[in-house]
Amino acid sequence: MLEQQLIQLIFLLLLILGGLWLSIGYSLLRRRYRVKRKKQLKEQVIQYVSINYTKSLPISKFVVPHWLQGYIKKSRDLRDVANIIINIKDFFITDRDTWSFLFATDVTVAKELKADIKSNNWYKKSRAIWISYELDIDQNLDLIAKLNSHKHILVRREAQIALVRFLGWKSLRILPYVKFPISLWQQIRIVEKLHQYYPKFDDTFFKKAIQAESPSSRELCLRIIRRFHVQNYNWYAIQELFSEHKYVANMALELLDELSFDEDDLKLLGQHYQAYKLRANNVVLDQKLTPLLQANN
Amino acid sequence: MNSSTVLIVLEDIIANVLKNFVEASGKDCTIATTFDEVEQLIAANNYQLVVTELSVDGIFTNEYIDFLHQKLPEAKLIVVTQMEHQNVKDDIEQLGIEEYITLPVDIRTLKDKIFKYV
Repeated sequence: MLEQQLIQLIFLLLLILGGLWLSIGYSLLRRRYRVKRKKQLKEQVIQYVSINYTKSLPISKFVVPHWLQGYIKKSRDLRDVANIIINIKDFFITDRDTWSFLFATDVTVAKELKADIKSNNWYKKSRAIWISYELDIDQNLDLIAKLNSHKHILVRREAQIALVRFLGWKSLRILPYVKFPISLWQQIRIVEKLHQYYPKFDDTFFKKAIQAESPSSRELCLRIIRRFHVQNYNWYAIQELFSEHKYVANMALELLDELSFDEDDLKLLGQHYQAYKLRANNVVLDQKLTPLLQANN
Repeated sequence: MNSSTVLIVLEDIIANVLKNFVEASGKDCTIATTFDEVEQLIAANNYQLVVTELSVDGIFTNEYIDFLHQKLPEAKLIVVTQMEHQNVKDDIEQLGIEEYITLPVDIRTLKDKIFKYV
């Protein structure tokens, strides 16, 4: 009896082992196929770029080659194609005249991305948004704009960055309506994207942004003031210096050293400070503000 | 030691695209993506021009530039980088390079700079 049970157990273990070996073998073969396919794709794209650059054809006349369409249609390959094009665009200034073939590719990619943006899968959604703004594909912007307060953090993060990338300062209009906190990392990404693509400060939309009430949006506004060396919002920085939210107040405190105050600013600072002292005590703030206010008395 | 014209030390896709452009003009061109590859190539070949990323896997930037100067004293160096900071640019230029190019770069500008030295 015991012998039979042992034989059955050994047989079962051998079966599991065989299954494991088969799955390892399959994944190794699959991996080998993927590596080979990726290598082929790279080589073909390199040739494609080298041959087509400077042909200066209008995008409408450029036909995406059959082999590349084949890659674009598969979600996993599309990511590889996007990575290659992003690499090229990060390195070379790709204007639409001499690099029209890359933009023609984008038109085809846009159709594929639309399905992923509409998908219920958060990973597909966020990846499609990421590819859209990295490749400057703005055809799906309406769909992306609706996702800026999506329940999944990665989807809304990518959607917010996409809005900044495509709309620039205009995208800050959404700040008062953002439902979820904006993380520190996300704030830095927004500021840097804004600075990279829209380096000229735009007061029209910033005025709307500072109406935001959420602490993280206000912290973001302070970061924008610092990054763009904005001069006429000292009153905002002074007001936030006494915010009841620690991170907002700390950000305003960091900003303090970089601002130059005129008489009116100092008067406002003094008033806020007096009112603040009645309700709270902050040693760091005292050390910073007392000498500043005394020097200007 | 063999004599070659251009050594490109960049990420492989960009390096290959650039290699095709350089070779289309009849110039000899080799690519490397890591410091180990650079060491091996330089041991066997002499180059007139090195187009390289500022940060290369396997070595610190200053040591890398010094290494290139020592092993290829006659070669011209073109450095490309994402770093735009003026102080970084000043520091690297003091190490003795011909061109410091921040990315993204217009390919015509890059080609002009390459063909200025070869």
